[in-house]
Amino acid sequence: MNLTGEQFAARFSCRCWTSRMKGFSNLLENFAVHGTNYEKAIEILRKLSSFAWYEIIAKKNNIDNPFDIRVVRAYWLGDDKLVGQIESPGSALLLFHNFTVLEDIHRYPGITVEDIDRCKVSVAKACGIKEGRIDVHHRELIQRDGEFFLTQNPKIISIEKGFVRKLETGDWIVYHEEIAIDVLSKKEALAFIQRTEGAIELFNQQRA
Amino acid sequence: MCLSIPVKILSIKNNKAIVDFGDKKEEFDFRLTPDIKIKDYVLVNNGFLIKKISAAEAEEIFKVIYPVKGGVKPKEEI
Repeated sequence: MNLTGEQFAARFSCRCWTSRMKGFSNLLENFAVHGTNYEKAIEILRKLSSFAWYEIIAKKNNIDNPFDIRVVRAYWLGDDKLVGQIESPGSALLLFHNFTVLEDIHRYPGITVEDIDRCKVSVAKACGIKEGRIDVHHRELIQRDGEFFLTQNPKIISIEKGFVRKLETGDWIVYHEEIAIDVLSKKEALAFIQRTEGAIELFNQQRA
Repeated sequence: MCLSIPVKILSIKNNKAIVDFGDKKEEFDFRLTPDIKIKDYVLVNNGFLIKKISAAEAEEIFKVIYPVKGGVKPKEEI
């Protein structure tokens, strides 16, 4: 069965803060895997802030369905083909999760860089596979002198195997809120990391 | 946090929307939500209004995010 855009969206959103707070995680996880409770899952997904981004990306690229898999992938993983930026005098809005998430630290008193680090999408190499868990070389988001950076020295963290069924040590894993979402090719992974670094740099420039 | 905070439109001038952000007012670009009106609720991110929402939807979000880690509900909100 091909993964739909709705199911891919559910993979990313099932552990997000709103889903956890409102008790949506299990329903979205089951929907992501089995496609069950379609109507309820869609109702939930449409209420999450990520849906606003899907709508903007879809409209900007003349795609009718905001849950189109291309749109959902573009928001969470970035995309070099779809139009993904909105320019305004003095600022630019990158239609990419790892850009939009950085603002949260300015808006929510008490939100830590560690919170944002878990919420950003990360890609890292698997360095160990255990029962239901994967060890990855995680590049942590840090803040220094008001600017964000990804650490150059990865640390090993353990994430849930989540939606990844087959993998080997050395595979590139994309994860969000410490749950594995998918396996990427090396080319996709390196492009994603480059996009994330670019998004962080753009955010820092605009805050300077 | 995959979350956008709702704010209320206070005024619109010079192609910018002035919104109530708790104890301060801020200007936002509203090209993505061209049909906004004063008193509408919208979601914001990085200087842009990204989506108009209903008062009921805003209330639902406020119920989830306030209080969150010391967050303070905007004075003029629901």
